[in-house]
Amino acid sequence: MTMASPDTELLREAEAFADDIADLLDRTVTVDAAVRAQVRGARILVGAFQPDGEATSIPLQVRGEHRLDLRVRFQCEWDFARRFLAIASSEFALKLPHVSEPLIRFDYLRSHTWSPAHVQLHGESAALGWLHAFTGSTKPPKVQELHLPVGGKRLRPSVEDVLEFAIRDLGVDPHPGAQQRIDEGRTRWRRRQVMAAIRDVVKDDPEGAPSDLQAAIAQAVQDVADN
Amino acid sequence: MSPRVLEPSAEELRARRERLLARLGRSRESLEAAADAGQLTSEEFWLWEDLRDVEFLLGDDGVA
Repeated sequence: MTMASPDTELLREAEAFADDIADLLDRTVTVDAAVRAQVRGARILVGAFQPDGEATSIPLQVRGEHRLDLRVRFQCEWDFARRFLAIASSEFALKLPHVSEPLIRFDYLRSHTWSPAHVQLHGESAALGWLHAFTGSTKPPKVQELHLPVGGKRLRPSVEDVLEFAIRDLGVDPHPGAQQRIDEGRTRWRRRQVMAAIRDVVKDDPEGAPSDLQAAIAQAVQDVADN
Repeated sequence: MSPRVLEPSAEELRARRERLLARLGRSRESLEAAADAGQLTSEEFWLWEDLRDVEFLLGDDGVA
């Protein structure tokens, strides 16, 4: 496959995306997070990388000590209209330092037709073992092999949601003002996702969708004005 | 361009790919079969993910 040099606009998008993720992390839970974008042809990889491009993890602190690692990365490319960066896949994982098995992973794989956005929790479940006895399967079940669906392609958890989870449920130390930055980022994410979902609807039904969407927006504007 | 943006060459990415395969000590085909069957160890899984990221940049992953 021949890949042309990345265009200036793509490089700018890559830089802006990496800057945004670094800003989010450094204003919530990290100091100088090693977030970088790697660009090749029309593709962008954003995540935690060393200066030589090798993958790394981002240390998180609990009560001032390094107790968790965050692994984060996004595979991106232009969307079909070359107007937005589309995420082909993303992975957010929380794991203990020096332990390969993660606590939990939040994955998104756009190409998957079934449960493209899912959570995989690593743990034990007696109930799952009991159920297994009735399935006829010869493979012992593992909790982490369950792909727990979360929000689908457009309304899946954002990295802000994962950081909030790490702070609230896992005790990761937040910086002052972390919740405000999480809320701001999540609001932008949700808005972008709604815009993308609108394009999905129009793409699926170019004739009927625009009038339906305009009617829904008009109704929403009226409802907000009335309340 | 910001130091936050890296532009690895195809040669660098292929070398990185070979290093990952060497660390995994298995062929690409056997890795894919093990991944599909959920039979990678946790350590192998992360290296496999790194390998797929490199292949994404190389355009060898079938995403497009």
